[in-house]
Amino acid sequence: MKQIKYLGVILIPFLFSCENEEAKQEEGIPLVNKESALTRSEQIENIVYNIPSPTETVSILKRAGAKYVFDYPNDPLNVENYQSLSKEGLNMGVYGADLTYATVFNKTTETTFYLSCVTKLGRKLGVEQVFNEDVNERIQDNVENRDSMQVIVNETFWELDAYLKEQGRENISTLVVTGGWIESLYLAVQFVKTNPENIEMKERLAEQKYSLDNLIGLVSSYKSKSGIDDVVGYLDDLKEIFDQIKETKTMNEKSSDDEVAVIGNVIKLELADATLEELIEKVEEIRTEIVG
Amino acid sequence: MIKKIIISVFLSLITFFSYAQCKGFTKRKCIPELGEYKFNGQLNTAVLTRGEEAELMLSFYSKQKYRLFVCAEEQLGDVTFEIMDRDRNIMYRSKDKGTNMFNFKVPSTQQLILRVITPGEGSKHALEFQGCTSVIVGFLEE
Repeated sequence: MKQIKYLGVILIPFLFSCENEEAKQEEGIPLVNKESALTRSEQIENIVYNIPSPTETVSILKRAGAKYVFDYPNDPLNVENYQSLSKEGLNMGVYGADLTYATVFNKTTETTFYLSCVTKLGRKLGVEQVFNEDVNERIQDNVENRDSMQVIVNETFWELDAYLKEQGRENISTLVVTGGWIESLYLAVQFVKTNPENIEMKERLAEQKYSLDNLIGLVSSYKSKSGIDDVVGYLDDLKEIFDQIKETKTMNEKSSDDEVAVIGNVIKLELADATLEELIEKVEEIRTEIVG
Repeated sequence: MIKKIIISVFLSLITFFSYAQCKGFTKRKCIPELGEYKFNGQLNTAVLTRGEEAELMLSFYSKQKYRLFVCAEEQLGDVTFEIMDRDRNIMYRSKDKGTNMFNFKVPSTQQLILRVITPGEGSKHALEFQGCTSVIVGFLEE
C-alpha cells in the first residue's frame, strides 16, 4: 500500500490562509491537509471487511428450500428488555434480520411486528432520524410488495449504517451487523436441523465460515470500543468450530457461464456430522444469550 | 490547549463531512448504476486522496450473478480496481477493460479481495485532493 510521505506539521492555519486552495474549495473540490490524509491512510491499511446482508443470506436459504417458521425469529415482546448498548445494538441487527426474513417470505403481519421492534430500538439508540415517519409510510404503502419491501429494508439499514458512521458510532454499526449475521446463522441452523436430508442447506451453512472470517476482521477493527468486547468471545468460539470444516480447492476451468464471466476457484467444504452438532449447539447458545 | 481543541474539532468535522459526503454521493451516483441487480445493502466507502489504495474483503455466494461497481468522485482521476483470490492471485483487472462495472459469478462460495487504486502520487502541495470511493455490490438470483 502506498504511503503519503509527508509527516509532521499540522497545516490548519495554512488551510485558512491559502487563497488558491480556498478558491478550489469554494468550487466544491474537497481538500484535506496531509496530516489528516495520513491518519486515513493508516486506517485504510487495515482491510475493510464486508459481510453479506441478511437479505442476501435469507434469499439464498429460501432458494435452498427454507420456509417461514413463525417460532424462529426473536419474540417481538423481548424488545422492551434490552437496556445495555451492546444488547440494543445486537438486537437491532437480530430484528433487522427477522424483518428481512418476514419480508423475503412476504409475511405482512410479521413484517409490521419487526418494523415496530427496529423502530423502538432505533429510538433507544438515538437513530430515530433513520426510522422516521417517511420510512414507516413507505413500508405501510408497500407491505404487500415483496420486492419493494426488500429494497426499502435494505436502504433503511444502509442509511442506519451510514448515519452511525457519520456520528462516529462505528461500534454500534458493528454490533448491528454482528447481530444480523448471528440471526441469519441461527435461522440457517434451524433449517438444517429440521431438514437434515437437505444437502444444499448444509452447504449454505458451512459457507458462513467465510462471512465469519470477514466479521472477525470487522469486529477486530473496533475491539477497544464500547460494547464490542462481548461479541469477540462469541465469534472466537464460532471460529473454533468453523475451522474444523475441511476445504478443498481446485482451479476453475470455466471462464463464462450464461454470458457472465466466472472468476474464483472451485471450493468444496466438508462439514462433518460431529462438527455440525457442535455448531448447532454453539449457535443456539450464543443466540439465546443475545436475545435473552 | 486551544490550538489542540481547534485541531481536534477540525479533524472530527473532516470525518463527519467525509461520511456525509460519501453517503450522498453513493446514493445519487452509484446505487442507481446497479440497474436490475438488487443492492446488497452494504456501505463500503473510503475517502481517499490521489495515490492511495484501499482493500476490501468480500464474500460471494455461488448460484448468484453479481454486479460490482467501483464508483469514485471525479477529482480522484481514473480509479481502477483488481479482484484477487485469498492467495492474492489476480483474477480481474478493470484497467484492461476500461470500465469500473463488472458482472460475474463465482463457481463456489468464497472470499475475494478487491483492491481499489487511485491514480498518481498525490500533489506536491501541502494540501491534497480528496474524494469518495464507493464499492457497490448488487446480486441477481439465477
